[in-house]
Amino acid sequence: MTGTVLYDHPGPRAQVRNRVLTVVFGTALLGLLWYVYARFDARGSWAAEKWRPFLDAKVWTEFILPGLAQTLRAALVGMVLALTFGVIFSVSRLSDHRWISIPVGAVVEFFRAVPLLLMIFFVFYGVPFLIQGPVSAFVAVVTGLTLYNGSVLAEAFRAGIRAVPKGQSEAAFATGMRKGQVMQYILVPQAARSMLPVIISQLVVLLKDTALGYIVAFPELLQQGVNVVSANFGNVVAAAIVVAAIYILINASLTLFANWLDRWTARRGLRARPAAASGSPSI
Amino acid sequence: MRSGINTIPPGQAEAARAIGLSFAQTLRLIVLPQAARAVVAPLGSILIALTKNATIVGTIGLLESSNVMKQLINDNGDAVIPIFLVFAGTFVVLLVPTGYLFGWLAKRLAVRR
Repeated sequence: MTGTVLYDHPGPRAQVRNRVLTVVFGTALLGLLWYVYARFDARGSWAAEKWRPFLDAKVWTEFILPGLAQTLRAALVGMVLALTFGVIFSVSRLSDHRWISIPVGAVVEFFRAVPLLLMIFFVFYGVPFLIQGPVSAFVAVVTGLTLYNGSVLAEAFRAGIRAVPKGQSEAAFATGMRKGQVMQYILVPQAARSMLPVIISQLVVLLKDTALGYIVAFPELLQQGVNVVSANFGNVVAAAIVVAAIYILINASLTLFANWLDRWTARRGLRARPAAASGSPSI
Repeated sequence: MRSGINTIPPGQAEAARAIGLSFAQTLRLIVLPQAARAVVAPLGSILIALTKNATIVGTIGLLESSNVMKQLINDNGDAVIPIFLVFAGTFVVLLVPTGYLFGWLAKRLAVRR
């Protein structure tokens, strides 16, 4: 819906009013930005020595880049496992056999409702008591991310599979395909494409949630880039801004990649129809 | 909220303008009521996510449920699974019905087109 349909084209008086409002609002916005800048300035956050560490190659090679590598490692492993978990559990929940679909549904609902932090704590502090051995922070973070994001993805896939027009599976059954084949060749590929935006935004959430790893001393980007760097150089604000920029860069490129993939699949004619209903609310 | 407004067909606003409603009337009587119904489900998701993310305040020192669970586990290493199930179960009891409630509300309030 475009805005222009909502009101008449501005006449001379409305144009003047719009210009005045633009100037007033713009000034207020600039004033707010200046206020933020001035408050940071008063605390010396913009002082050159707070930022000089980031010109030092050692800060990058010893703290930030290893942290980034750990973040990406946890995120990649988590993404692969969560997508696998999501596909398996969405398909199982759509199974015709009650004894599969009901327990799987309960598992998905359970992990969707439990906070990620609670799961990470359980794996990191609780499981060592059960297996009589230590659990690494990496395993705790990846397990938590997989179970939580996998369950959300399972719901997204399920909504996507159910949104594929009924004729698709009927036609597939009519050509003599079996249930598994219909799912594998007809429903899942179409659902994956139509749910691509939801999947990518959930993967961005997963990548951001790796930052929770710092609570169990997993040496990821937040821990290394903000906590360790600022402990050494006393520049929390500067370190947080640099690390935030890195996170934004990664997530923006992931989103750009998703948009490209979306256009690519549309151009290749791989998608039969525009994305349908969003289905049940994802958490 | 913006995607809620985007779900409204342009014809709705065009018709409102055609019968002479002003900008404010169009928004108040036509656009926003329909948009509000469309965003019930996403808002429910946000509410649930917010409840769960409240555990994150534990990382800056407040004693919320995940920190309490951590302490209980450390003190009672022989009852790890019951402790986890009680804490996780509380969230499940609280949030799963909330999710279904919002799903039901969204379906009930949906604008039939």
